[in-house]
Amino acid sequence: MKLALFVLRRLGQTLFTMLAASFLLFALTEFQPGTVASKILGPYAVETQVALLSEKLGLDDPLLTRYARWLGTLAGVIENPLSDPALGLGLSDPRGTQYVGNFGFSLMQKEPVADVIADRLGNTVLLTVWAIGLTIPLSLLLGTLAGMRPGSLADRAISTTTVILTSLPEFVTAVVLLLIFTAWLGWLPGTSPLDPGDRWSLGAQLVMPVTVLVIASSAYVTRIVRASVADTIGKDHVRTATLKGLSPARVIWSHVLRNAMIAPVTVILLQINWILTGVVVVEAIFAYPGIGSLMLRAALFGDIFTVQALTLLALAVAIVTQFLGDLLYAALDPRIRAGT
Amino acid sequence: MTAVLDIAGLSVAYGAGPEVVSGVDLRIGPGESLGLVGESGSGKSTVAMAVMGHLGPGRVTSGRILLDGADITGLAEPAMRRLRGDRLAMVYQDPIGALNPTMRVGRQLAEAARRRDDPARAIREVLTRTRFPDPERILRRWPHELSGGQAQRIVIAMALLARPRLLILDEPTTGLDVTVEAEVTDLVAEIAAAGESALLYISHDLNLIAKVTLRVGVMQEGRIVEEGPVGEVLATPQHPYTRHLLDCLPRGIGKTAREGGTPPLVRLDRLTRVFSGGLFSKGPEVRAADGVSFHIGRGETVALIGESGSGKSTVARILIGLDTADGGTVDFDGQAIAQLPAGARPRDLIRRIRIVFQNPDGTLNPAHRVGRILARALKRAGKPRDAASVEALLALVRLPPETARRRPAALSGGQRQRVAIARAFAGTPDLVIADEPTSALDVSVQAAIVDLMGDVQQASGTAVLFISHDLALVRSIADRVVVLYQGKIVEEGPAAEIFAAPQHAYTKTLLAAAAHALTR
Amino acid sequence: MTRPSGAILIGGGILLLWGIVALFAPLLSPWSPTEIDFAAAANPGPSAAHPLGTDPVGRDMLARLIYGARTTYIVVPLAIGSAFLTGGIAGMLAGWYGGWVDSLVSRISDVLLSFPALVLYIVLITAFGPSVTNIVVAVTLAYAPGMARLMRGQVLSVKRAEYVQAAQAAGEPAPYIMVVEILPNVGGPLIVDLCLRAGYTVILIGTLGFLGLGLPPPTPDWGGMVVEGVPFLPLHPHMALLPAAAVTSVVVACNLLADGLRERTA
Repeated sequence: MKLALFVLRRLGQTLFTMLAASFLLFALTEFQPGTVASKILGPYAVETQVALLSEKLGLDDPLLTRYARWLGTLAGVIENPLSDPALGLGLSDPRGTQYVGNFGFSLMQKEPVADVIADRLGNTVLLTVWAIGLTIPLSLLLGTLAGMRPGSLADRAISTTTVILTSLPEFVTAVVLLLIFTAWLGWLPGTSPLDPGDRWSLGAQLVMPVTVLVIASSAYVTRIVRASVADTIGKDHVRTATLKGLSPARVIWSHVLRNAMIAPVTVILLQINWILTGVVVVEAIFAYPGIGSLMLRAALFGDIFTVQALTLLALAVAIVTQFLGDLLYAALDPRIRAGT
Repeated sequence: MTAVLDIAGLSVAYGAGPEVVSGVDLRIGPGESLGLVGESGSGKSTVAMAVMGHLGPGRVTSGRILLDGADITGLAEPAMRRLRGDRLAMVYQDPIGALNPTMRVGRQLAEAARRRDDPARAIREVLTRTRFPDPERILRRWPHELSGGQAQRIVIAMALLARPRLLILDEPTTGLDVTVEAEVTDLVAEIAAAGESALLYISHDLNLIAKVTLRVGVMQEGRIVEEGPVGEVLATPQHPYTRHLLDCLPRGIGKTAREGGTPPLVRLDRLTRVFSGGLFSKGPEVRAADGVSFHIGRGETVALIGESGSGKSTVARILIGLDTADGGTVDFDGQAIAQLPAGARPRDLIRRIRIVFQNPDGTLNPAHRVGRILARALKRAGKPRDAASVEALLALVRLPPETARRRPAALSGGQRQRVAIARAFAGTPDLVIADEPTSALDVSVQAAIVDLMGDVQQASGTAVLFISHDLALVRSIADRVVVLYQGKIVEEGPAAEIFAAPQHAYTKTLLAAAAHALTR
Repeated sequence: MTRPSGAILIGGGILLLWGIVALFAPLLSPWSPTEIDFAAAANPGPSAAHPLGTDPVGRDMLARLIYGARTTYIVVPLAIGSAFLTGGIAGMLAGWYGGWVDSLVSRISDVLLSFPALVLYIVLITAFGPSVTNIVVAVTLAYAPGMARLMRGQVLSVKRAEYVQAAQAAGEPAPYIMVVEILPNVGGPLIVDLCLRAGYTVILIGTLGFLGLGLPPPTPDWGGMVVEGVPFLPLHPHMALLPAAAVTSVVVACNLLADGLRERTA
């Protein structure tokens, strides 16, 4: 009963955060009405054109009104006026003017944002699933190994390596890997465009982008796991278990690990949020056709609708994982479940 | 007959440091019980850990430990592990911390019962023996759902499940309330009397040891300075340190009441404070203070007695203005202060009511030097805050002038508490509230602080509200005693009368718990 | 006072060294960072005239590295200082007053924490274009919430301490308690966090330069130098590796300093 209440409460907070974050996003990108019109029409637009578009889109309305309209369009309750042929923008959407997930048009590609993203989303999912799938077991293993015996040789080796690796920006790791595996050894491709006709296999193209992401995030998560395991090992209840005469394996497995995993869970889930940043960098370096490189190009072009859509996607991922993290935290720690 | 535990010439050191245990000899026969008493740092817990073979970075430098005649000194870990939870078992301080927070009680007991033929039955039996009326229910609980007393009885049950030859209990009641302490101590005494396991009972409290064991060893600075039957050691202590420990146990006769004709300094009338269960958790509301009425005369010392949760600290917080009452009044020399938070009190009223807190570690800001702390208190009281005034204040609590240049971390617990007392008395207040000022200190320091409070109070004519859970402690200084139980006053009267003839059942429990060893 | 540990000495030393380089850039630099030496462009490797070689268009690497330090040492302290002040004050108020102040700060933090720093900056430049101010705003919005949480937690941990209650009971005003009683006792973990985040900010700014989102050229900027050098990796690896090493050295120094300080405060 209490648990249901806890979940409901967190769900409410999550929805509120999502709404507030989307408002902030809208306010940052469309705060000045003039920006929107000139971004749509480009730098050479005539003033009368700008005035007409501003009126058509209601760009001079108060911020909250414009935000409500934006949400309405997104939810498919309001028409998107941009495809109106009277504007002469040449934008059209096969889905019509009113549908759920209507983010408007990519100004860069003159296509609906939904299509532009759909083309590339799968590639980014592929990249992140591999990165996270490798990061979690690797960091749990190394972190536990190091934290079990603080000060041991294994601990010092793992700790030193991870300190160095967390100091390496993704772009530096990528440059070093490119130098070794592409420039010197020639084993791996320098770019990963994922073209079916490329001379490198899909697997070979994935190796470097995934490796860069795994190195950056697993070093950090390993450190968190190590600290938590080392901390739990020193707890009184672990001494109780040892002095009960349990075997070391049993002490580690049922008394240390369960307790030591509580803190890293939150970190691992936050890491998914953080990997998204890495994705932008990695996709840019390796010319990987995902939403990260799309976002970068859209930002440089001033394609606000595409940036809005992609940011909203990143926000949704971040907020949902945080929510899941809280639930998992409660599942792991009976004290949290009982409290709050 | 072979002794269960035979320790000869045991010395232990950590790393390259000095010996923390040197040349200890101990013998416990089958079913016998031995108490080990000493202050913190005397090495008594190290002896226990040496027996359990769990010294961490420490090592046995000389001597031997025999268990049933077999040498277990420095035994390899796998061999030691077979002894633990079988022939050796241990119970520790801080029972909540000793249980795994993410594992239900039932599973933790099952782990301890893994060597028994019928574990389920063994667990039921041991739970009955450790006084759990409904064993099935307790098995499904998480450790955080247990009270301190329940948790400690579970830890004891876990130890008993091994049917050990030797059971070591290391301060099993430290940190527990007096009534809970009595409950656990009775249980331990029963186990000792049953004689199934030999018992090594470690405590800083001679009273408790006297309740449980027949023999006692007194430890000081890593050595056993005296050993013998408890009765003899208590009656005719041989070693000066034992006499010192005994002297420190408060056992005054109680002062006679001073009832003057003048109106009292403070009058509490039906003071009430209710805490709601929180905004989201639908817990029941707690009546921390429930119609509390008593008074304190000028220059009088009133002891407010009760265990944690009885509402005594709530009363203190309202008096000092850290909390406000929900109902009732407090009249302080003509001013109504029950609803007046400290921030809204005039400076002079603040000067007239001061407080000494419980925890010597937290009472002084670790970032500030003692001189600065006292100078600030003098300034707030509108007094000169030059070096001479600070020195005079330090002299009042018998601290040397150079203490002013120290930071709290460089002082002992007792010294810090002296500074806190000096701070409270800086502005010659009319009322000082002492909220458990000695409960975190060693026994020998406790007595000194209580004496000091008494002396400073005599000199200044200040009234004192002395809050404590320990009846014995206030015996020597209190004029009157007020006993608080679950937010209500259950007994009130001159100290001598209360000590001679307690009326309420709860007061009797408190008195019995406090004075057991001293009255035999 | 105990002697500073090796980590503190090495980390602090590297930061100090780069600081001196940034401060005296015009004196130390053999060339102007934007001057093009057409003769050297054909053979960009290290030479007598250019001890660390030149970049792809023939600008002196050493000069660009030295002036790049300047960019880093202006932008990072501004950004991290602004985040620290904002987060620190918000966290202190939230921890001390609790109630609705706390809820407000927590809600705002939740919202801001759902934006990754890089994404936040991308949103800002989409609307306003790249500038130092936008970097500072993005870093402040991205890092202040975390710092506020840490400060809030620290304040809560000492708020119930008896010396704070003693000050309250003595009628001390709230600003006095916050600044004199609480602040000196919560500083340790915050300084450690500051060092770590300074490291992240160096990474972030390098990344922005690398992605072409940083300050407009020809401002010398280490991240930008790396990306200019990438196409020449097989022939002239120094063009990308030297600025990459410079960024890494500053980040390593920040992390070492944080580790050393953490051990001291623990």
